[in-house]
Amino acid sequence: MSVANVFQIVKCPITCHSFNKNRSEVAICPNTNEIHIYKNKGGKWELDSVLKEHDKLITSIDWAPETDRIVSCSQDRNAYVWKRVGNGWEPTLVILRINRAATVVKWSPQENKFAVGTGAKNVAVCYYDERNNWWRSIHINKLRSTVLSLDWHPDNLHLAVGTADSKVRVFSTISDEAITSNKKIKSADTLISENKVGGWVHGVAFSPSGNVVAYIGHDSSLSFLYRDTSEVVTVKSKDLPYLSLLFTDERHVITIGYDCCPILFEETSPKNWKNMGKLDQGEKKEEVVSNAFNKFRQMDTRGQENNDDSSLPTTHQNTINDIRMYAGTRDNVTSFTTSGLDGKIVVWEFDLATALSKLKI
Amino acid sequence: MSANRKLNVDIDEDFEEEVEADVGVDNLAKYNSLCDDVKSNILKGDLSSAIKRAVSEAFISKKAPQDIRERCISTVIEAMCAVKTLEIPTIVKQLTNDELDILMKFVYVGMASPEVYNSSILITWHEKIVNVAGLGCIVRVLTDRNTV
Repeated sequence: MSVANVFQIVKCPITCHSFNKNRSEVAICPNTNEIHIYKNKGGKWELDSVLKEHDKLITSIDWAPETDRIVSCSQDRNAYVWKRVGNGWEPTLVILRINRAATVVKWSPQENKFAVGTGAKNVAVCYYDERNNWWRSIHINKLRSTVLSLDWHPDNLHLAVGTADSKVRVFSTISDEAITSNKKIKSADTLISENKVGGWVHGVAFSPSGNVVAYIGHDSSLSFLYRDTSEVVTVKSKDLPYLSLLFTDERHVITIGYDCCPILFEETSPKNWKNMGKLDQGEKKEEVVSNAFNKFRQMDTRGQENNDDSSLPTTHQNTINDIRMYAGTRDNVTSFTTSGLDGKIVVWEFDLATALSKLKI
Repeated sequence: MSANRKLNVDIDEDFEEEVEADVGVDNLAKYNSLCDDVKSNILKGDLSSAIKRAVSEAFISKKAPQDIRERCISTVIEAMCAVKTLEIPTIVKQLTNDELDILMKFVYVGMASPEVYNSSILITWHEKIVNVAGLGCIVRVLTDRNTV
């Protein structure tokens, strides 16, 4: 496991990030109401364009790789789809019809629709209405609390939703035929399953095959729901709670969160998940040779008694809040990126065999 | 201030938790026998078994009347206080992670009323439990809606 590149892009927290298809551009939100797009110029990231349309903090950005469109949502209760026009970007407003913040947004695998989680206790599933040339939404209303996370099933139809009332639910949404047929869609909220967790559900993800839903609770737990038997396997961890997760293949999951470090989980035998350890071991800080000597040296050089080096041994210096695939395929991730409150975007090389052998030592 | 800030957000119906509010008779019997078992183990001097029995069932205060709650908490903390400081790590190691989560709840509820319970002993338990179960154990106590 090695860190490939660390980019200190901004000096403030990054609330979310998303790369384009060939990874030459990245869209981030530097904890404001603007989206910054950075371009890779010879290994350096330079600010290319600033997208201003939202009034309040942007909560989530998702860049559709194939159709090259960005969708963003914000606490100002709006979502925009950004299309590339010439050198710039042009927004299209999405009719969300909500009275609370939009919290999370994600394109479906086919990129013909996207889902917006909201604080108004619903999920808006949005699809393009060609006749009127805008994005229309239909609500999933069977929720009782703010949506914190969601993920699409690879079949482009089912949606997993994690909420602040400690529940994770799976819905089936609008079929593609319904969108193309141009008929009025009446409802999209068929509840498939509902499971309880011991806290807010910060992250949810389908496995590459779509047969397993993994989700994270604020009680430092990681749970797996199996489609065939509706069985739930929960791993309660010793660490601080996780915030997001990524399946690197059917049997491996990487979680990130308040511990400032990615953690690997493996399905060692069917339906038996195990915490394999931290992928960022970090370098041990230099041992203090002589306390008295150091103390006087500190007092001499800095005029203070305590060593104020508060940096962490991990690559990220603060909570990590976003993890995304960078290279490889959905069922064989070879590289992933993380961004966090320290303003860094880190690209991690991930080779399963080396990672596991290092962790076993 | 924008218009949405003027909305009365509390006007929405309150979020209701799903709790079985009624105190079942079997629950009462269960919690009473729990107290009795722990007490008799303390009297026998078998503190390891006393602690084990104390965390063998998840005590949930919402499902028990106040007097039973008081009795349960005081009995479990009595058992914890009876253990010698040096023996705490040995007992903690014998418990599973789920049992440690339950024990940690009692530590917190005990520390909430320092005038009744000995906080210095409880903080020692706290330290030893965190050594084994990690910070996740604390987070679970703080997030769990089924409080002791």
